[in-house]
Amino acid sequence: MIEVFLNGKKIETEAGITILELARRQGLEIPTLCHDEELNPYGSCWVCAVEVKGRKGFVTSCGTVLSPGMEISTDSEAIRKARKMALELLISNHYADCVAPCTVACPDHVDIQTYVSLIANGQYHEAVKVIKETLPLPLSIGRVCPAFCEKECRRQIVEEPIAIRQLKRYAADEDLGDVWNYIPEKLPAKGKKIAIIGAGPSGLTCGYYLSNQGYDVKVFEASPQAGGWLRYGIPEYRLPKATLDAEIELMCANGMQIEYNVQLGKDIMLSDLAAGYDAVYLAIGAQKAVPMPVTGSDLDGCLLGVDFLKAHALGTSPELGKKVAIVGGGNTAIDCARTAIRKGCEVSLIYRRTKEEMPAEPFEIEASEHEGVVFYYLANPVEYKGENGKLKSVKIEKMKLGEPDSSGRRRPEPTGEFFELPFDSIIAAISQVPEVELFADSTNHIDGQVLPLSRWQTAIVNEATMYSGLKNVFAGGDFRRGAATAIEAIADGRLAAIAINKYLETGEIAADLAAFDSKKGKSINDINKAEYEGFEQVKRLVMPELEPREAIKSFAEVELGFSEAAAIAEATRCLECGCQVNETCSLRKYCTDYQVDAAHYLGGINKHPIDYTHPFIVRDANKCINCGRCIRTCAEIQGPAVLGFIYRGFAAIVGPEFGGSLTQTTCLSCGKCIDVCPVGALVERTAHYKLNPHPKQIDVQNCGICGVGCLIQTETQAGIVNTIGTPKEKTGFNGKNLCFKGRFGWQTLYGEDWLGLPRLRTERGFVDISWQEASALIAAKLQECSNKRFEICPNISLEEMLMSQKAAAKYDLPLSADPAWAAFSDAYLNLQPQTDPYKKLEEFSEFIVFGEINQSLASLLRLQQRKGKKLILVSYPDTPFRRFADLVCHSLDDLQPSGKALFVYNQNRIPEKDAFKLWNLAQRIGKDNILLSTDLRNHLGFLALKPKLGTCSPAEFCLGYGCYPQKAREARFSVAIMSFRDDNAPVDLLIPSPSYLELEAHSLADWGQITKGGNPAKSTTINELMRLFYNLGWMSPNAAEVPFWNAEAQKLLASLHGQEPQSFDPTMIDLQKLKTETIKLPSQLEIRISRLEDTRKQQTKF
Amino acid sequence: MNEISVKVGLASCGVAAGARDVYLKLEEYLAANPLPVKLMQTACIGMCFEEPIVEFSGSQLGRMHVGKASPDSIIQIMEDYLKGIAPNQNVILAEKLAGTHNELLANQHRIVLRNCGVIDPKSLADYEAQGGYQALKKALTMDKAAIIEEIKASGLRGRGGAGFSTGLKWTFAAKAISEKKYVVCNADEGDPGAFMDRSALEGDPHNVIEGMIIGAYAMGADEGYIYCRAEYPMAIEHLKIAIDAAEAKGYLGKNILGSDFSFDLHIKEGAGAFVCGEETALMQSIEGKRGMPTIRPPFPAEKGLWSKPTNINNVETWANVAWIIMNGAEAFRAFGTEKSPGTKVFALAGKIAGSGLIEVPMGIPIKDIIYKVGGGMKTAKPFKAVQMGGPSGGCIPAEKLDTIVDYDSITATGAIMGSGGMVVMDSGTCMVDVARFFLNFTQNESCGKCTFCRIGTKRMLEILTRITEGKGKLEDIEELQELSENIIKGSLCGLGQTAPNPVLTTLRYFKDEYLAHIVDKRCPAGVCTALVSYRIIPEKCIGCTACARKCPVNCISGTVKQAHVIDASKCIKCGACQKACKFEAVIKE
Repeated sequence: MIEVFLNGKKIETEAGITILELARRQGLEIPTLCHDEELNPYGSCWVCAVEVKGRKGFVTSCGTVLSPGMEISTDSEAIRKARKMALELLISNHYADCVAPCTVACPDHVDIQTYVSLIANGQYHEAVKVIKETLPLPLSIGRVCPAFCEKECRRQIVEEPIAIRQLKRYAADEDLGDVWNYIPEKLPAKGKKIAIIGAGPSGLTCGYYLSNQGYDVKVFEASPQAGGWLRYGIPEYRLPKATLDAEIELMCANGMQIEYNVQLGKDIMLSDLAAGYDAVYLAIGAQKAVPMPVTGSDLDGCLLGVDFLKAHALGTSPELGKKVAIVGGGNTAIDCARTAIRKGCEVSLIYRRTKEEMPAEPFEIEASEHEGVVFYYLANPVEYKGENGKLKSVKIEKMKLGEPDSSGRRRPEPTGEFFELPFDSIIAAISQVPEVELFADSTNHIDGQVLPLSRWQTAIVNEATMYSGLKNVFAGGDFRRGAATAIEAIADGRLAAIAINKYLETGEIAADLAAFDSKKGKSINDINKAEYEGFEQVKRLVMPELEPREAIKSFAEVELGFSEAAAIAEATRCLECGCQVNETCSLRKYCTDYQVDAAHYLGGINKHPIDYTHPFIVRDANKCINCGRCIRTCAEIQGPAVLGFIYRGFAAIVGPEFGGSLTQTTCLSCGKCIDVCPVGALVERTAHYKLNPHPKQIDVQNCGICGVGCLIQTETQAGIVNTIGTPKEKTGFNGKNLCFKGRFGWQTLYGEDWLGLPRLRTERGFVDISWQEASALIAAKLQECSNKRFEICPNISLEEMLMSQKAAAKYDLPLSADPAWAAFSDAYLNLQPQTDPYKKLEEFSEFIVFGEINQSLASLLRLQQRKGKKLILVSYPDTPFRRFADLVCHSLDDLQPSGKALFVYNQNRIPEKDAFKLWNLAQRIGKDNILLSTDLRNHLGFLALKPKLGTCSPAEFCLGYGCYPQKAREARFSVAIMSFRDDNAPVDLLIPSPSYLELEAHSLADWGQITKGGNPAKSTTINELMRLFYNLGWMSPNAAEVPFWNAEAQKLLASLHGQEPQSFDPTMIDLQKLKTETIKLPSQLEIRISRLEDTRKQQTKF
Repeated sequence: MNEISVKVGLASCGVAAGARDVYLKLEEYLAANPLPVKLMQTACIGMCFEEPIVEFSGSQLGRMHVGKASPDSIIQIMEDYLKGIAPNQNVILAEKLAGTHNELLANQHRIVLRNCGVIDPKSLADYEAQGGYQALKKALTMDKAAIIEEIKASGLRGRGGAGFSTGLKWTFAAKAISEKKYVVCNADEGDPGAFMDRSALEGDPHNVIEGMIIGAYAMGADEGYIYCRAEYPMAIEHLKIAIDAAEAKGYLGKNILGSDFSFDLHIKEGAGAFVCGEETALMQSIEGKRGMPTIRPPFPAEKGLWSKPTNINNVETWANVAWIIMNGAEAFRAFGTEKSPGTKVFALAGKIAGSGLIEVPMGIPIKDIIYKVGGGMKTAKPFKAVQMGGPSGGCIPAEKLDTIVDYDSITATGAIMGSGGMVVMDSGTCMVDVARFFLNFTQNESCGKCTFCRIGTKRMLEILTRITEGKGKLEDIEELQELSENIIKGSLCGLGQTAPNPVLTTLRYFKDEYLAHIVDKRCPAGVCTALVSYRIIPEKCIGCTACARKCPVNCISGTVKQAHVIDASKCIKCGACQKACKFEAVIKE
């Protein structure tokens, strides 16, 4: 123990630890990016800089070992500035988007990348759930949004943007059409009341989130129906009112109430609301159309855009006559034009500038052209001429384009040339402003003060919180912005809801601290097109529409929706620009914590193509911070050393040798580099699943592929496991180590040959049948067959073995198993269950490994060796791991083991006669010094159940759980409970079995470790299977549930405590009977994983 | 008649200047015309600006150095020398340039370079004739601790730049308990303008090897590496020859000179990374890894090469060892100052008359090095600054020229002693541009490990570039200072810790130049192209039209015999007009 001073405080501590370790033990957070507990201190990132008295400059806390009396300061102005500078420097060369540019561009920041990926995966409900985290009106917005997102979509650099709006609509339609619709869970009632004025998109959004939070929300609406301009501005052919009604109904599901025909300033007064409710949100919109300042605009037949649309929606539209002119170039003008066309009019649209400058959406302009609207560009009405008070014609001045104005568009200038056209009516769709006169009245004052208003007649509020500054009143939407889009109104409504909730919870008016966002550029124009040359062009899918000739005949919806295939294909085009790990990235977290300014050190940036060549690992060097953790882990612990630094100076970067592809290296695809990467420079990819950065459901369990039983963390999204890594919070005995199988191999479980339903052999081959049919069939066959056999294998859980045992016991039969599983060592293995047997590795100082072992286990031994212990490899294959060995021998005979040696071998990878030699040697040296590893998930559990391991004669009925029963073809009826389809299966019936990712069950793995499977995706396979067992009379009703068998398994495990194995006696063993070949009956899963592993050398594309 | 000896300096500097041709010419001539002449090779005597140099001795004319020798005239000079006829005065160095060379030699004292330019570096016999390996023989009779004590007493400080006590360093390595220890010679000389180590290795390889053997013996090492950059093929060749010869003679290998001490020496060629001169990076490189510095502690003396105790000294340090053992610490202390005893080798370069290699006693004022040893400025332009210590060093301005050469005095100026590069600058040098040049060097040579060094120096470089382009802002100075501070404080190795030095010293002594660039958008030295402009002084212009005819972009207008005018908006600042004008009417400002 030594004494040191940490920030002035005297601390007694263990010697030999680093400052970083000391700080952690003291509960003091020091940021670090390059440090990794498994590796030697490196000291490259410098974000862990601290000061030590007497040392020049800063020192790295990760690399500085405590010395007696050391005086350490971890927090000073200089340290904070240095850390911030280090982060700002790193960010200045971090060419990456934390969040996808579409999401950034969306005023409401909808997590587009996530929902698009979910659509690509066919997870529509989940997509809607993600959309509704920020946008509660996807049915409507999926139809009417001008799609700010698509304008920033990077896919357009390749060819065209993703049809984001249409995909949103697709998901929302799917959700609406399904048996259940997504409605968020309502939080417990808060007992507080909110008043919202205006049931437009902004008011409804605010009310939706607040009602979900548990508030009593009342919305007051002046019109007879809700929806605001979505109802009264957007025509039916774009947004059917039935769809809008459905949307609003869903939004009200958590108790939001809407009161109609109630007008602020008339029926209700703001001062009363502010007093009577806990908070008020004013979302009164911009209702008043701006008139056209033209002589004659008081003539009959002169209308204003939104007034016309609203009247039409209410069914009170005036007669337009035959010839109709629309003035303006915005979406409202187009809506007016297309509505008028549908009313049978001849429509002309008059616009001051050219088509280029028109603010309306290009596709809308195009649609109206197709529908027959005649466009007059560079034209401006200067006088409406009438006859008998009725519009007759319009005098129009020709315009020309001058210099750009403040909006960046070229200003229209008069030419002095005129022409005149006859019209029966003219609709001016220029702009709208809020109606604010009512706020002058004292009844609408708050605490005697007038709501702050701008000279544009809009509310002045805080942009982040929508707070008006007065009492409890918030305001947003068009009322704050002037006439804008629905999505902007929604964004305001959502921010208001967040702020109101915070205000009512804490009394504070404050916006949430925004997370740091790294961006590749301010807009798509900053992006170098060359970076996207590697992507193959895939055409954007156009949503089918009504033929224009048909469309103009009615107000039927023009866009017809995507087919499922089209939606998936379109969503698959997404380039996944946002970082997959933006929720867990350490760099982003520290940049947020230290309030980093991304623009501080603007300058040269290294740009690299993203490397998609490896089938399991995506490398994005643009995000790399040169911490070297991947390099060091790969070289110092795993062995292959396939990564290194290349180039010098600012250009220095991590990559495979010569900057080539990982597939051309000896990369084992263990994926540990992904686990150690503190940023998103190395991320996994999963076959058949488009990943996204959305937070996932995290579960921890043991891997069930081999006998090591590593602790794994599954990430699940909408009932699908999509990635597996090591636990982040609390790592298991295996630390950050997983082998290829554990990290990537599991994916084969969910391939196309995954067995979802029972399959019966017929003359046409295997066909799917229902569980009920399977049950009936087995029942019948059991009647016919007198002699029966039930077999198990060591790859299923204890619970499944016990179930099989119970079934066999019905017929007074013992369990059987293939004698190929038997080994001479079975009798000498200690079956006593352990929770962490690998702790015992600490007790040994020498490890003698005979033959190849699992990679995680190899890494664990390597980590032991790094503590100064000895690693000896005997007949180890020529893998990168071999270079770590202190000694490599061909034979055990060459060895002189020390008394502290542990002998390690995998029973399924060396011949029995070799294993016997090892036992002999080990026994001469000590006791309990053998780690018998296997490729079997439940080897010791299997032995504990003592199945009959003899060669059997054919049975009439045989059933194998996890294996094909022996002599199945000779049986009258054979059944196998398996995980995969197999057209060459030797049995009559295949029944699905739950994998280790589908059942919470125990196994007794190597060295007595109790491992636990999980069911993160809530699979129901085990329920079906239990029902089958129950129906067949193999199980009582109370046994047909997982907890029952969990208890049985626990009982079995408990019974094994205190049981001593036989002591090894070589003379008792018949040497002639020892197998000279390896005991290997690879499971279906292993075979598939091995095939998948072979693909690691195949180059892939995005 | 006595045998005449003719020595041709065939070090890299000589070869580059054409000495090989001179030597071959002599060889060819002597083969065809047998004369009583012994033709020999030697290395650099230091006056690189006079290469090729041929030394004659043995006739009644005495020793005579001929500079700028050429194959065309050398035969005549040799024949004349044989006949006792003195050649044309101009070729004899000692009499040329009003004593520059006398001053040059008189103010030097050679310990490290004592044999350079004297012996044939490929000849062990030559080295032995100068007393070579006597120190080793003496050391092998001494107590190991006594050897280290002697080195400690000499006050020898590491000549690599940091100036750490060599004796102390040896003590650490000697104290480390291990069956295996290494000694390493750092010959990865990488500073721009520095060639001291190269010359020492090319000219006297055995001296370095002998120093290493003595050190290895004293510290208990049995294996050594000379880490030499591959860009020094002649040094490597001479080292290989020397190692082979020393092995053959029992100075290296098993049971050296019959003792029970064995020592193997290897050469490791560096691949050209500057940072490999940093000792931890150097060791990584020897181990076959990418040269990247590691955290210290542990220091090499505890855990060095392959985690074994290792002592690393640079070429010049090792080259002092044999002399000290032979002559004693006191003799060494007769040179130099109390805290910096001995001599120091410098490579003089830049705007100095006598560029080349010199060895001077510590304590000599910089002024004397430049004006006495170096012969003063090359042109009429006045002295502005001397850059010492290469990219890790700094610029010492005119007002600090009285500073004496010792570790502490140089460090006080903001520069560092460094390994011995001295680049002399005159008023035509832009100090912002100099800072940019050195920073560009360190930026490119950063190993890329530490954030501050890798990205910080890049951002500093961008700021400096911006300033030289006239796009600087006043805040940039503060930004440079803040970046400098953290790069120095937040880098693992010397490269990063010193990279900002050229910027900091120029900011300290030449801030006005920075401000001129930033505020006035003007480069006072007229170096930064973006900031200079050409103008015709009407009074001086006679209207000859020469400039207008040379202008590649036709931006000069004017009629014959009338003053011409440059259109600054079109001028590309190529300077062709200024060169064309015979009347000095075109000025650059």
